[in-house]
Amino acid sequence: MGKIKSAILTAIIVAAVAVLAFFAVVSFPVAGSGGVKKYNSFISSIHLGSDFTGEARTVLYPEGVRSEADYLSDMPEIPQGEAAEGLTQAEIDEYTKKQTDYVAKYEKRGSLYIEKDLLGDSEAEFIENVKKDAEVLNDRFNQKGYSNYSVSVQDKFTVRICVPTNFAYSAYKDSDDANRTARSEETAKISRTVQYLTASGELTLRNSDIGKGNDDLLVPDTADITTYFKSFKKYSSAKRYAVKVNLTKEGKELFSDKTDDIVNNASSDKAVHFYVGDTQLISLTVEEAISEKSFYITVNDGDYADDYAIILNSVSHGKTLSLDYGEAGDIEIVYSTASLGKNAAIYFGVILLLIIVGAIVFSVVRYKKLGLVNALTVIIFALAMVVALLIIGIQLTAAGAFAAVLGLALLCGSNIAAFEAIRKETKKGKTMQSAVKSGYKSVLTAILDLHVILIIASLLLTLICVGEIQACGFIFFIASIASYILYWFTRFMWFVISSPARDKFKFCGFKREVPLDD
Amino acid sequence: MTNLKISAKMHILIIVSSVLIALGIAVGLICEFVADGYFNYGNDYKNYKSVEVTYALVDFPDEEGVEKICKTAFKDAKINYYGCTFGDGKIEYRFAKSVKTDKIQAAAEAINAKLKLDGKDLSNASAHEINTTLGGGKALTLGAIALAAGVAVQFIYFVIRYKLAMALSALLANVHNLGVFFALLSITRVPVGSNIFAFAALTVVATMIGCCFYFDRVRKNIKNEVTAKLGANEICDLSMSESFLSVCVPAVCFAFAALLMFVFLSISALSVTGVLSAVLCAIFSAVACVYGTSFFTPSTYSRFMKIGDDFKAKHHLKKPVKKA
Repeated sequence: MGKIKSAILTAIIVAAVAVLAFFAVVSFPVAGSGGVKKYNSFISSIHLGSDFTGEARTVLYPEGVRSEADYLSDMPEIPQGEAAEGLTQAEIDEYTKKQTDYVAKYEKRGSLYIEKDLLGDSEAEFIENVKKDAEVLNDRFNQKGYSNYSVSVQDKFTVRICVPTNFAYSAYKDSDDANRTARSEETAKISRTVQYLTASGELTLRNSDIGKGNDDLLVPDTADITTYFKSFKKYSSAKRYAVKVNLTKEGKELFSDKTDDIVNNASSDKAVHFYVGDTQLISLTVEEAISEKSFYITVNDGDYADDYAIILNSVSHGKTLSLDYGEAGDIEIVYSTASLGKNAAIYFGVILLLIIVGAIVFSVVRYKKLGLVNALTVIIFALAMVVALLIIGIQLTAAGAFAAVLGLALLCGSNIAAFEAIRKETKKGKTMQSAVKSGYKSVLTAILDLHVILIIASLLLTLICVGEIQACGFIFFIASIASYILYWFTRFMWFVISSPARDKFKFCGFKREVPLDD
Repeated sequence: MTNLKISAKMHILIIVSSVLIALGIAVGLICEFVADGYFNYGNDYKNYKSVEVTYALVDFPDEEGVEKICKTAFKDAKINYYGCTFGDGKIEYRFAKSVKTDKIQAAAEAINAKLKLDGKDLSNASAHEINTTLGGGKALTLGAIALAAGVAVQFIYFVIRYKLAMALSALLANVHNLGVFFALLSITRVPVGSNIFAFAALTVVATMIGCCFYFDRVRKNIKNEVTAKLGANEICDLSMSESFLSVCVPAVCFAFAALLMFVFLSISALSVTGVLSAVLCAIFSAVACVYGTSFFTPSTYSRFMKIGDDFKAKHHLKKPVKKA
């Protein structure tokens, strides 16, 4: 390769990396939008785990169990001062009686107020039911594939649920309009997921025309609805989402009958509505009788499809909550700061930056111009990881970032191993071209071995594990592949920058040692 | 390394490792039946206690005032929290399960009394007990399966890539290193969560890398005319001394990166306890890898090599001599 060709190629690669790095790192207000719109850098748009952006938590109170705040706010008041003027003693006595009855109805247990009817002989059973419900909820949330979540029993009588907020850093930290919208989208998703997955009650199929006079029920509540469904699964194809309903033999017959009935006899309501308790989830619009073993119900969003499939699958297999946790809309969700500190993401960013700078400085000091090539690959690696995380939508946790750093170490280690092998070859008296060729050849199997081992290990973690470990495995899988590709990119860059070198025996600190017999 | 003659001292290494692993199992089993589990499960799996403070922004426009009240109450009750989160007008302080409930309750009541001074009755503090034993049963099972699959795949890969004796040594090294890693966790009672399998996987990976470097060197030495004349023990020791740095570097890098994370995240969280367990897991993983791969593997492989050589020699002797 000629000197000019080499210079042009190097300049193009460096410019492309610089432009990509700019958009990956810098956020700025969009010109002409009056500061309303904002461009968020790739880095600030990556979804982060609960250790960086906190968690969303809620406490489910079964009917008859109240928090101290709710108990106090609902306590009937006895009018006093101006409000009491004009009231007769009988009316005041009635208010007093209401309050006394209210207080007598509850018993304080720790920070909770519990209806006395639930305590005594039935207390143990009630506590057992809370525990069972927590297990059912744990099973439902487990299927969401969160990097980190917990379902726990709090104070024996309530269930506490914590899930990651999934905020990107921009939504977590910035308070401008654009980011506020992004934040509210995420919070809406969490609220909806929590509401659906905590739905109490059994699965019912309804149609207001056919089920008229029977609470809209298509199947009498005496029938065992769990015998009709095999499974509910999320289905997606080309950004279209649906819930796939797989029926049993009985279910196939039931749907054939009922949909036929709807087509022929229903006047205004031409759908089968799926309810869990009193919450309507999805509706199947019926245009003709369904005689298949499975069918699809289209939904607007992938997250919706996921939530519907999980809850329907759970209740259709008899995993219903035994206690009533009130209306779905009553659930209060609290968004807390990151468990590793409010600014954990910033601190972690500084660590990553230091590691990258350290790798660059080391390689430049040790290998001079060639070190710059290694520096370039380190930057490309970092950008590749950022873009991959952004596109695939993996939630980045501290452990995930650690996996990415290991990938970076793998890349630098591979390059250094190759450089050292080349140095050995030049000491044998070979020309640069020949030393590079034989140097890369000598470490070929070792580097390949290393990458194959790591790719297999990370693939196993990705395929078998769940949650944070799965995410770490996947990040490391991407990092290992990126490392191997960039290892060969370094080889290519070596060719680009060494071609125009005048001295074929001395390059970037690699100097041929002339053998004595020369 | 060569002077130490590691390969000849397999019995000592086996005794050391066996004692360590047995001690780990003993401590784990005792804790399983007497205390709260084989390992000291962290927040993902273990009960903990908390004080939740809900404050009205009208009364306390900034959370610092509330924080000050809480910290004073905890100091007076002589209890320490290990984690603290803020958000939506609530502050939650988390305490270890071992902290006495009455002390936490007293602190919550003291906070309540201070918050409600001057008729500010919208704020509230309450103590809670949280049972998180449900969390990661599935994650742990799947983690264990992934780990077993990783070890099995590594064995198959080594059989294809190297020799059966080397693959057996690597398998033994993996089992040994994992045993040491889990024993260290069990003995030191470091709080572990689902990340235990991430670090166990790291142990397997670092062992695989270390074994690769070591067996590559062994193979080169066997092929080398000069070193091939050495006995099995000498070849194994020589190969280890030559590849010692390569074996140590990945494990030490992991530990160093973990240490760096520890320093920065401790500054971020203003607490070392939340980050310490992950760092200790990384360091235990590195220690198990360096010890197992550098000292245990050469001694076991030298035995396998000898057995193989003896077998070959016997097999060769028994072969009928072809008549010319």
